[in-house]
Formats: sequence, structure tokens, C-alpha cells
Amino acid sequence: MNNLRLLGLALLAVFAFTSCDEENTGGENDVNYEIPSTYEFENVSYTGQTQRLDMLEELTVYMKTANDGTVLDAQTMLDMYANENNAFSKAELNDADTKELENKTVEVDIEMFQAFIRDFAAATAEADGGVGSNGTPGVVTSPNDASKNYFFDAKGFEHIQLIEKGLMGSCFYFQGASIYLGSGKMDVDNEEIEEGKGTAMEHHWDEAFGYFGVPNDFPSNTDGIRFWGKYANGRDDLLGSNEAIMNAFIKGRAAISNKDLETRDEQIEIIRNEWERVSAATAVHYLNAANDAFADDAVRNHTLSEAWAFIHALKYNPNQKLSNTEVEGILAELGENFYEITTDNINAAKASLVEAYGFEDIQDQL
Amino acid sequence: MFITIFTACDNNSGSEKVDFDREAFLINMADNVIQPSIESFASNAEGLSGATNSFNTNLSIESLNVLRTEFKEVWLSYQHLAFVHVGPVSSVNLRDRVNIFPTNTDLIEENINSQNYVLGSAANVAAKGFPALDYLLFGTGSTEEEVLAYFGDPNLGENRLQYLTDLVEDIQSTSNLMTEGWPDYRSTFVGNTGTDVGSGTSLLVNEYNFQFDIRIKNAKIGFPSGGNPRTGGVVSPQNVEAYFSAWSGELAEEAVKSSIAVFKGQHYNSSEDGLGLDDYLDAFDARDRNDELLSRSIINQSTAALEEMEKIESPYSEVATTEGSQLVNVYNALQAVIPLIKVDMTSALSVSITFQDNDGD
Repeated sequence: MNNLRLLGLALLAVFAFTSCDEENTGGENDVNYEIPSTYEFENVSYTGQTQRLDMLEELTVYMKTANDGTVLDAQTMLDMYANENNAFSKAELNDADTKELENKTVEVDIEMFQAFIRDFAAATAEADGGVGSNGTPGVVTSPNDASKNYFFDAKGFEHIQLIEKGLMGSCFYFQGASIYLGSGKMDVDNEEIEEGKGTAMEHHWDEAFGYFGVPNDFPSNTDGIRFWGKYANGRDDLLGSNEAIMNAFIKGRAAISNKDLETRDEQIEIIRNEWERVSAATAVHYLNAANDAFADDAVRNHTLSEAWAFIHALKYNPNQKLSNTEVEGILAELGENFYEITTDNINAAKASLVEAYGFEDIQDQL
Repeated sequence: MFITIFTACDNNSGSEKVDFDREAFLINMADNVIQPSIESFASNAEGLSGATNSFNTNLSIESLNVLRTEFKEVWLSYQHLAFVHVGPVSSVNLRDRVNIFPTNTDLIEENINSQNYVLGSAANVAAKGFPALDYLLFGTGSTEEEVLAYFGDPNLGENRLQYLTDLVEDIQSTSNLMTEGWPDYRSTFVGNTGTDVGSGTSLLVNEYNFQFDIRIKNAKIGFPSGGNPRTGGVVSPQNVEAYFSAWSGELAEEAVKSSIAVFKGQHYNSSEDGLGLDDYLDAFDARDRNDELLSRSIINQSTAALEEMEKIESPYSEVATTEGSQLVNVYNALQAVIPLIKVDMTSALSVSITFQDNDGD
């Protein structure tokens, strides 16, 4: 995004509209068209996105069987990732030939996820239901809470988190914040309405919304929130992102239908910035949790694995506050073995995030 | 605090009558822009063929340098022709036929070794054209002597020269097809004065957008620099155009200059300004989102991108090794042109964009 536009946001922009019918709706809107209170518009469709959320959900359910000592099959997971060989229990997902997680993953990460999957399966085979510890893959149970048991590799990484939360970043967030709100999907036709789908621009906007994982009357209704919706809601008390993101999605959609692309662009900025804050704040939240449970291998490694994925996601936003190199630097602070991590390592990663995102006031509450 | 005032009444939908002679516009584009561009490409292709023959008969530093110079000329003239990818230029599929990069050096060497290849086959699109010549004439040695030694090799030299000759002949025959096909196509082009899909105006606007958005903004700049969001910010310097000769900057600048010239309907190789897309937009009094004259915004923003390019002195392959490099600034400046040409211009002219950055939903 160009600097001028950011500057425009930093200043308070006021828009005065002159409309033909001399009627100004006034009120809360600064635009001359109606903005509904929920994401209810004509011709909204994002089934492909919902299906991808379903796919990740099924993959996660399968992966979690490792926490009970099950040996996982790499091919089953690779098939779910690429939607091949009828890997899902829901027939609807198997039938959705063109919908898959893999080809919507940021290209440079596809091999990483495939390797995560293979390594995960190999580690479960090596463990064969056994207990894990530093140097040995296997299930580790929290000494403080027997219901908390997680499968870690020999270095304490929980692949379920790297894959599930990792794909939230490299697929859902990447597509929702970068691609579908980007030029390739937004500089498109906004005249021709296809029944059920709207204009190309409307449809792409709906698809971006679909990756956020919330009902259309979010946040007053939080039933059925998934993936990012769940994590936005989890940090909402401190960030207030629920309403900011939802309002921006609603307003942007209304703006597109009313050919007001200036307002659309402002909403894109809001969504991108707020969504990024959710990921960064969630990472800090898990780093705090890891510090709190520092002596508990199960909880510490689990929360560090979550944090790793939410930090990694920070690469995939055109407005990213940290460069990819800086993100890699923070991941490097977490090191290569969570069994051997130090409090200093965790705090260093946290400090970098807090500084970059201005979380100074809330850093310990997150 | 700044205030923007919108006027919602003057909705120029394009259906109303405007005072613009679309036929005169198409005639200017045909006779003063497209045809001379094809001719210039053809004469440069002749030059390349001649220099290749001389190089074949006499391998020397001198003949190599003549060949390289001729090669550069035709690659530069391609940058303009690719903006008017209509009629025979489109039917030979010029862009895909001569300028797919990065080139596949392994495949080139494999073809040379096996001597068993059909250059026209889809499997070889990344083993031919300018990027393949770029490799053969620059990438096969770090000095002129080494490149000569590559072609003079007692075992493979013959095959390599043959491959070089075949690549150049392919370019030459592409050029012949365009030259021969143009006169017939011209009447179709200037005769279809509507704005429907397939009309001269629609083709020009679509190809202009495609070349600018996909081939310049993305391929030349956005992908290698990591500026395009699809890359996730990851740089790939090996993906620049003209990786081996390091002409990437000159070629890209020529491309943006060509975009401005074509937009203005400027006569090829002269500064004479004929009826172009700018005049067409002005006839509608088309405005951008800040109520500036759209034609002016497009030229200004394209010029701003060109200025960002001119700041770069090193080869793009070096610049692109750094994340967030100056090339990303170029990308952002080019990106700022896209809404103007792909949304505002098409809407003002009532032309539908018929290509998609298509990766499904």
C-alpha cells in the first residue's frame, strides 16, 4: 500500500457526499447509502471457504488422535491437505474437487506443510504410543492436569499446532487478508451481477469474509465461530477487534455494491491491520501462557507451538509491521528445541512483538 | 484532516453519446502504433538473424558482441509490441512464444544434448525465445571468451550453435507471421468500432491491462522482488527477466515507457501524439476517485513508477536478493496504476476485462 493512503488513514478522513436526491441519511453513517448491521446482502456466497474450514477441521480431528497414542498415516493427511482420494468423511468435501487447502496455501510454504505432515506421521510411528520427553517423540501429559496430553516430536514441537494454526496463517489469513482483498481480486468487474454470486468484486469480498470464520451476525452472536473468528473473540476484551473487523467487512461490502471504492479501500486497511493484531496478540498470549507453565513440559511446549504458528502467520499481510526476515528472527528466538527453551528466549520473542505492535499496555494481560 | 467531496450524479456509464471518433482512434492505433511496432520488431528480428549467421560462420568476440547488440534491440522492441497483442500478434501468441521467463536452463541443455526437440511444443516454452538466448549468449560463461568456448566446444559446439540458430529462426518465423498477417487483420480491427468483447477497443484495453498487470507488474517486478502478495514476501532473484545479461532494468523501463506511449496513441518512434486511450477517456471526462482527470492520473502514476525504476542502478537480480528492496517500491508504484486502468478506465469505456488472475475461488 502506498504511503499516502496510510497517511490518509492516520489523519482523520472525513467524507462529504453530495447525492442527487438531496437526501442525506445522516446518522452514524458517513456515506449516503445504507450499511446493514449484519453481513446480510444480496447474492452472498462463500461455500468454498466454508468447505476449506471444514477440511482443516477434519484434518485436525484426525491429527488429534495422536494425542491418544495413535500412529498416523502420512498419506491420509496429505490427501486431506490436497483433497484427493476421498480423504474426508463428509462426502460434500470429497466432491468439491477444485477446493483444497494445498493450492490455497502460500506457495513457498506448501513443502513445509507437507514435511510437517510426513515428520509428524514418522514421529508417531517411532513413538508407537509411548511417552515423549526431550529427545524422544511421544505423548506428554501435564503433571498438573491429566486431561492435558499432547503429542510432541523429539524436540518438543507439537505438529498439530504447526499444521492447524500454521494453515490458519498460510492459507486462511493469507487468502483472506492478502489475496482476496488485494489487487488481483479487487481490481475486477463490479458491474455484471451473477445470480447468487453478485459481481466479481462482491464475490471476492464475500470470499475474504468467508475465511474469517464467523456467523453473519457476529459479534452479537458468537455461536459457530471458528478458527480466526475464535481467536479474534478470544482476545477481543483487550483488542476490540471483533467489531472493528466485522464492521469493516460489512461496510466494505456495502461500499462495493454502491461503487464507493474509496470507502472499500479504507475497510481493507482496517481489516488487514486488525486481523494482523489478532495474530500478533494471540502469539503474545501463548508466550505468556508458556512462561506461566514454564516447568510443565506439556503445557509449555503446546503453547509455544501455538505461538510459533501465530508468529509465522505475520508474514502474510501486505501491511505487515514486521518484515519476513524479522519474523524469522523472532521464530529463531524460540529456538529449535522447546524442551530446552529459556525464559529469556520467550521474553525476547515477546518483547519484539510487543514493540512492533504497540502492545505495551496490555502485554501482560494478553 | 482532509475532506473529499464526492458527486454522485455525473455517472458516466458509457452508454451515452460522447463526442469521440472511435474509428479514427482505431485507425491511429492500427497505422501509427501497431503496424510500425510490428515492422520494427521484424526489422530487428532480421538483424538478429543476420548476426546469428555471422556468428555461426565466424566465432569471435566481435561477432558475439554484434549478436548481443542485435539481440538486445529486438528484445527492447518486443516490450512495445507486447502492449498491442492483437490480431496476428495474438494469434502467434507472441508473449508466450518468445518471452517466458525464467528460462529452464536444464531443459535447454537437455535439448542440446539429445538434439531431439520441437521448439513449438508446449513442453519447450521455457526453453526458447529471448530468455533462452539470454542464457546461451550470457549465461554459458562469465566472460566473452568462456561463451565463445561454449559454442566452440569440440563435442557439443555444433549442437549448441544449431540450438541458437533454431531459437533465432523461431523468432524470425514468428515475426514473419505477424508481418504477413497484419494487412488482412487491419480492416477487421478498424471496422469493429463497438466496445463488445472482440472489438478493437476491447482488445486493446484488455491487452493493455494484461501486459501491465500480469507481465510487467507481476512477472518482471512483483514475483522476483517478493512485492506481490502471492509470494508471501519471499524474494526470488533468479526469476527476473534477463537474468544473465542483467538487462532487466532497461527492459522493464522500456516496457513502462511503451505503456505510456501506447496509452497516448503516440506514433511509434516519434513524439507525435495521435488519438489514444487518453483522448478517449477525456471525451467522457472520465475522472479518478480524487476527481482528477483519469487520463492524467494514469500517465502521472505510470511516470512515477518509471521514476522509481530509474533510481535503481544495479541489476534487478541483485536488487531482488533483499527483502523489501527498491523493487518493492516499483511494484507499489505500478500497483497504484492498476485500479486506474483496470477498474476506472474499463468502467468509463464500458469494456469488460476478459482475463482473470485466475486461481479459482
